This record gives sequence, C-alpha cells and structure tokens, in this order.
Amino acid sequence: MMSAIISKSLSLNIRSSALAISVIVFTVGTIVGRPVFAQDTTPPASPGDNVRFGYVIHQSVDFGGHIVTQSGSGAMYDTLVNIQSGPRLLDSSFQMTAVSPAHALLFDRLSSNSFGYGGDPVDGTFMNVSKGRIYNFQGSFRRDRQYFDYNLLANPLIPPSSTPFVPALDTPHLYNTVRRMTDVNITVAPLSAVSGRFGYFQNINQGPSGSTIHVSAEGLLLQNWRVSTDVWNAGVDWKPLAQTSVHFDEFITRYKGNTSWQLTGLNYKLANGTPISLGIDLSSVWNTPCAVPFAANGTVNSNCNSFLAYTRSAPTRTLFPSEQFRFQSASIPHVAMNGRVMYMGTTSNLVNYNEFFNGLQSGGIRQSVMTGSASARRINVNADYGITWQITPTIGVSDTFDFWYFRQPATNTFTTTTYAGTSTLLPPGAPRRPRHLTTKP
Amino acid sequence: MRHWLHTLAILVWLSGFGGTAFAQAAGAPPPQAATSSRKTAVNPADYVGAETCATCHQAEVKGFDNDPHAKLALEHGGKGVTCESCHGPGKAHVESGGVASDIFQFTKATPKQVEKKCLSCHIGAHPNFERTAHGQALISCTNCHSSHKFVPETKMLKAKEPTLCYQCHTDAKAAFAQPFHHKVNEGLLKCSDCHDPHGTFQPSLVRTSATQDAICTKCHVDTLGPFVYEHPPIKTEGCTSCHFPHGSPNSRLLIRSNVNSLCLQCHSPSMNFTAPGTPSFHNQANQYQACTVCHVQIHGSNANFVFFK
Repeated sequence: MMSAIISKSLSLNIRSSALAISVIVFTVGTIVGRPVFAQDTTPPASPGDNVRFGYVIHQSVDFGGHIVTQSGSGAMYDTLVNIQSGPRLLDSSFQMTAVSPAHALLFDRLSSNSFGYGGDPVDGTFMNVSKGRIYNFQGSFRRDRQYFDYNLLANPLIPPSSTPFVPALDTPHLYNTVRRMTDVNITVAPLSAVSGRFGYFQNINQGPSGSTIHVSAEGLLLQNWRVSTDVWNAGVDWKPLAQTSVHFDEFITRYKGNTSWQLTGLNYKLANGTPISLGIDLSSVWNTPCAVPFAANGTVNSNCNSFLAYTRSAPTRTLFPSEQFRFQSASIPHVAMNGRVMYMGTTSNLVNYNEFFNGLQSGGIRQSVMTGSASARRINVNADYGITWQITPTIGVSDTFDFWYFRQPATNTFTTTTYAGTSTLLPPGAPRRPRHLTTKP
Repeated sequence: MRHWLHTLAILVWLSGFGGTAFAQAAGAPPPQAATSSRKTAVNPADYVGAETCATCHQAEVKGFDNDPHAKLALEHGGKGVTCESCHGPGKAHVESGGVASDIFQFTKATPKQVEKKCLSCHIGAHPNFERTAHGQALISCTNCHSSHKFVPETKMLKAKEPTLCYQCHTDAKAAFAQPFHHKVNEGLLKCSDCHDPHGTFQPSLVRTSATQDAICTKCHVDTLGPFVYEHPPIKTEGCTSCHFPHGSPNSRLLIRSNVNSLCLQCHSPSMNFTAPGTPSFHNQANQYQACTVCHVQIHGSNANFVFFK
C-alpha cells in the first residue's frame, strides 16, 4: 500500500516569517492479515485472518519521513516545533489475540504500538500483554527531546544604549535535554480475591543546558544536567466481601542528582591574554559588572568583577520510602465509602558539595572555595476519607475529610575559604580565615 | 434544635431539586422500569444465554469475544454470563419478540442507572467516582466508554485521548494549543497520566505521585526535594500557583507574562504576605525583569537561602 500525504505547513512569525513544510512523501504500510482494524471491533478468527501459533495476528508499519524547509529564527523553530528532515517510523502496531484463550499458553492478548523513531523529538512504545485471570502487564517507553533557546529572556539586562552593546543572542538558560521514561506494571491474578501488583518506573533527564551564577558578576555556566529517579512499587489487593476491598502499596523511590556546573562564555581577554568572562550582565547603562569594563585597547579591566574559572558539583541522593493503605466499601446498602492513609519518611543527602571560584568579586575576593554537606528529611502523613449516602435516587449526601501533616527538618554545614585580591592579573592572595556555617532553617 | 431541623430540611429539599435539575439538564430520559436498578430475586430461568442473544445481535456478541469483559466468562470456566450480566435477564425480551423495553438498555438508561450497573463490578477501582465533577455532572460511564468495542489504541474508550477529553474540555484543548505546552497532542503524554477521570481525593482529579507529592514531580524530578531551603509555595500552594499545567504563552508555563510580575505577587510589601519584599537595589522596572536569571534554583536549594545555587 502506498500513499502520499502532505502535512500542514507551519509558519512562525518572529522577525521574519519562517515556513516549515513537512511533506511525508512515502508511506509504506505493510499489512499482514486483514486491513488495519481502525475503529471497529476486531472479529474472532475468520477464514481471511492471519492465524499463526493459535493467535490472530494484525500488524501494520508506516514508514515515512519529513522534508522541512525553514527560514527565520532556527532557535525559535527548534524551541517550538523541532521537526527535522529525515526518514521516520511514523507508526506501527502489532496485535496478537488468542483464537482460543483457554488454550493459549503464555498470553491471550498482546498488543504494542510505536511512533516517532528515527529522529522526531517525541517517540514512544506502548505494550500490553495479558493472560485471562492470570496476569495483566503494561509497559511503555517514552522519550522526548526538549530544546529551548528563547532568546528574549535576558535582553532587559542589556539595553541597546549600552556601550559596547553586546546583545544576548541566546538565552542564558538554553537547554537541549532528553527525558527517557520507562514504565512497567504487572498485576497478578487481577480477578481473584487476592491479587498482587508490581511495577517499576525510571525517569532519566539529561543533556547540556545553560545556567547562571550570581557572584557580583552574572557568570554564564554550562550545566551538565543529569537527574533521575527509579521507582519500585509493590501492592496487594484483597477483596474480603462483595463490593469491599482493601489495598496496600509500598513505593520505593530513589532520586539521583548528578548535575554539575562549569564556567563558559570566556569571550574576552585580560591584558596578559588570559581568557576571562564578564558574564551576561554587561551594560554601561547599569554599570555592570563595573563602570569601566574595558581598557582602551579592548582588553578587560583587571579590577572589574569577572570570572576566570568556576566549577560546582552537588551530588544529591534521596530515598523516598512511601506506604499507602486504601480501602473502599459499598457493602452497606446505599452507602459507599473509601479512604486512604499514607506515610512517607524521606531522607535526602548532599554529601560532598564543592564549589570553586576564581576571578574577582566585590569585597576584594579573588578566589573562593566552598565545601560542605547538607541533609534534609520530609515526614509526610496523609489521610483521606470520603463517604456517599444515596438516600433516594435523587437525594444523596456526600462528604470528604482530608488530613495532611508534614515536617521537614534540614541542616547544612559549609566551609568557605576566600582569598583576597583586587586584580585578576595578579594571583590570589593569602587565604582568609575559613568561615564555617551551619544552618538549621 | 428547631433551627438545625429547618436548615436540614432546606438542604435536603435543595439537594433533591439540584439532582433533578442536573438530570434534566443532561437530557436524561425518564428512568427505565423493571430490569434497571430495582433489586429483584434472581431466577436462573430468566437468563437465556449469550448464544440466544447472538441470533439477533451478532455483531455485538462477536465483538465481545475480544473484549476484556470476556475475562468474566473465563472466570466462570467459559460458562459465565456475558450479555446478561450487564443487560439483565433476557427471557422477557426474547419471548416478546425483541421488545426493547423488556431488557436493560444502556442507551435509554439514566446516567445514575448506568453508573450503578458498571460500579457494581468496578467500584473497587473507581470508589471516588460519585464525588467527582464527572459523577456530579451526571456524566455516565458510557459517555466515555464503549463496552462492546475494544481496539488496542483506545482500550475501552470511545476515542483516543486527548480527543475524547477535548469533546467536553474545550478549554484544555485551547490550552494545549498554546506555543508552550505539555506534549499531549504529540502523543508523549495522556490526560490520564496526570488526571484520574474516575476521581481522586485531590482537586481537579489530579493523581498523586509515588512520593505523595503533586503528580508533576513524577517527571520533573529535580523539583522533588526535600531541600534545606525550599520555596514555600511548592508545598503550601502547589505547582499551579505559578505554572499553568496545560499550556501557556510563557515559555515556562508561568501564569504571568513576565517572571517578575509573578514573583512580585507575593514578594511585595504587604500585610497579607509573609514573603519578603524585594531589596531596593533590584531594578525591577528595567534591569532585572527575570528574577530567575539570578535565583536559578527557584524551587529549592541545599546551599543558598536565596536560591542562587
């Protein structure tokens, strides 16, 4: 089966108009068995069906692609649309249904569908497998790329009347990150009086991004973004009476924050040729980062607030064990009620914080080193209860009760050592006495 | 005491009036008699079996073989009732030559009757439904679900998400058409990733994450905390105090066009807020319109109480 599809055109109106036309030029549908099931019910095996290994199999694969032409701001196009040229797996679906569920060994239904692979900013795969009253499995993988370069954000910092006028062409908080989410869940004996549930969810978010640090000047940083969570959960459902069930769930969430930061934007030079950054807040109108940032020869004033080097790492680990007890009952005539009680005791640890600054900041600080650790807890108790009494078919009384308690004790301990100095052409001076600071907000 | 009794009487009268008004507004037909909600003694002789139903309703019965409801039949060794477990005993319907009023018809039933039928089995999974905006607005199960048609893409829904949800929630459709939005239309997320249409204990049918936080933190894990210095609104008011969850013309889905106009809602000298005001050296009018250029860790920080790092 071949078909040609012309997709909608996309227009952007930033300064000059941008036009993006995505044309799907080639679609190949490979269909094994009957045509795609569309919106109608899939019939049981009939003489025309593709029956293999005791299953009716339906599948379709749509290959295609995009041809994109775009003018205007490429950054804005990527921020808002980000569809690029190239071949793609536009859509695929696959379904196996047992001809005789009672005689199917591993499963009596399997279905899967995917889209977007090959370069689209969003792609995913979804899968369901079930075997009657034995189990029900659901899984998915989703991936999306997030590109952001919205270049209007920093412009108020730098008025056009600044001398020199160095406009920010890219947002200081640019990012080009990818999020991958994997989700699998299985319910065992879903129709029985006692059934079990198990699941795992992983979320990884990583990629290069931009950030800033305010240390007198506004330093531009490359932020190596990497955060993730792993969530394991197990639960049991018990149906002791008709229309009554109780449930218990245990969730274990593990957070890992490995984002690190380092200086970028070393666009200028000192008189001795050393690369130096004046940060993103460079304006003679605001006298930032100093009144006279440049010497007559174009080199940077060594007495101006500036950055020669900056790094920071803050590896954070958090464990969230969370319990939940739920119940519901409609066994009493005309009365339905349900409720839940949840408890969580979280511990977050930042074990080895490390920050290094080299440059010049106000107060005559030529260099600083900050090390330390932090710890935070969150104790959360939550209870909800709801009841509905259907007095007559048209009159009912309903109410809910909610209770929420949380507290968050936290502490951090940091040691900062600063080195005196007034010129970035000179090495840092002698260290001042370290400053120890312990905080319990 | 008499005052209380009067108040109670008025409330009961108003609730009855309100319920009636809702039913009429929804265009619900009058309640069905006989097979619907009234409890009657079950007589096995009144059931005719799916094979009999198939003689006239071939399409529905054939489709039912592929329906998750067929698991109920498996539960009973293949001999359990199928059509009549929902539509009620069919003997009278058959003997009358197929008179529609002799059997329970979901298309003619009131939303409450449909709801009662479905929840007789599914209340364990949807115990909050009657208290939801859906339940109170008399949106019945069959408004969204099709029990006879099962397709892998939509499961038991009449259409895929978000198309189905947009049929009523037109404001959400407009929100997701904003320049910056969560990628629901693109297929990355579904409405039901964040909302449970059958109800939760949270406002707007929002789900709770595994960490007992707003569901937003399931994906936006960097905001999970706990932090030594946490921006208080995150806990006390929630993400939506600053962000539109669906879509916004603002690049960070903020509820204000400028960052500072959002921050100043609380960080202004006021007797009503305990949030500190902005220092005098902050040139809010021109230079520092985007507070988050400096306060980058605005959700929380372990190292800096003004969220610089």
